[in-house]
Amino acid sequence: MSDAIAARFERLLREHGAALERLCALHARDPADRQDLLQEIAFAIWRALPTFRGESSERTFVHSIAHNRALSHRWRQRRRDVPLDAAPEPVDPGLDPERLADSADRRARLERAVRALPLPLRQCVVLRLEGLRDAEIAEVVGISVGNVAVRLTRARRMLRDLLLEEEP
Amino acid sequence: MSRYMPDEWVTLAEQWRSAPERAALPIDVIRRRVQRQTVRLYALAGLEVVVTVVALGSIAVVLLGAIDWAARILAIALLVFTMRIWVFTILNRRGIWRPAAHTLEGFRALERLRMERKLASAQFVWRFCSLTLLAAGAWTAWRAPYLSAQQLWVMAAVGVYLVAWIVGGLLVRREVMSQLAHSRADDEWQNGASVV
Repeated sequence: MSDAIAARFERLLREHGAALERLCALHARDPADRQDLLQEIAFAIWRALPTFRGESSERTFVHSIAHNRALSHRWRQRRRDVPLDAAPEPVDPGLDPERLADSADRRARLERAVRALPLPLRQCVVLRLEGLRDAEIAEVVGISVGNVAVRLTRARRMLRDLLLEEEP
Repeated sequence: MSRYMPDEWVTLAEQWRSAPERAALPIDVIRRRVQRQTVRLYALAGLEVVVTVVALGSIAVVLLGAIDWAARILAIALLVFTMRIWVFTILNRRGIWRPAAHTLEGFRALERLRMERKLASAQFVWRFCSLTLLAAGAWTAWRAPYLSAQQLWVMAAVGVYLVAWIVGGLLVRREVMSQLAHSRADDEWQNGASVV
């Protein structure tokens, strides 16, 4: 790997690592599986990096690859009949339940609600939650900007209902 | 961000990003794995060249040195088979390295193309090995009276090896067909949901 590409690759992983980890957590519940998916995404980014000439933003580039790898991962999960949505929430023994209860609980409910969305809506929602604009989401998913807006409106309604259902 | 995100999305995005910090991204581990995979890719490509050169060289030696015309027939058959594999491998690899566009659509198209090529490889392997097994079996049956026990054992080992490849090819074919079906179902779903 050339130094310039290696440096760019590392920078991309540092800048987008947290978003990639959140995406992996959404698609792979088992920690080892999640790590595999993360490394698979990293490998795909590295392979595509030499041909990336800045036709889109780096963020769009990284998310396009990550979402594609996550979909492939999903196909393999289905093949192995792993019930993603039914898998138990991993518990980090290092977390203090008292301290993190409120925000962690809200975050967990949001994650469950996002996971319950149909895939086309879920993709748009995850990208929106990661801060992408409509035009960027359209570019990543390969649909029109108008379509993104429609999906996000539907998704917001569904999310609201799902979160209300979970309200303690 | 709030300039283009309605308040509700801003709140949700803040919650979304408040995921408890996991261990830092193991960039060194990832980089090492990437390097290992790269080396493996190049090594595999190199191995193919070496195996082909050795196979062709051995066949040439047999062809030049063989007095027995039955051995020459076997060598020519092996030459044809090796060339066929080589041509298939080269053709099957075309266009699977880079996506047409750096968009999700481009990457998914590349992913599907790779799966289709993997399926083609699996189909090729099991059909080709079945054909080779038949040919090797026919040749062995034909030459059995003139073959030593050791040569018969070698042909039996070749037969077992080919059967293993046939079974492997069929298993890979089944797995890839299943993945392709899921991929197409997702595409239909996406396209269906695209209709505003």
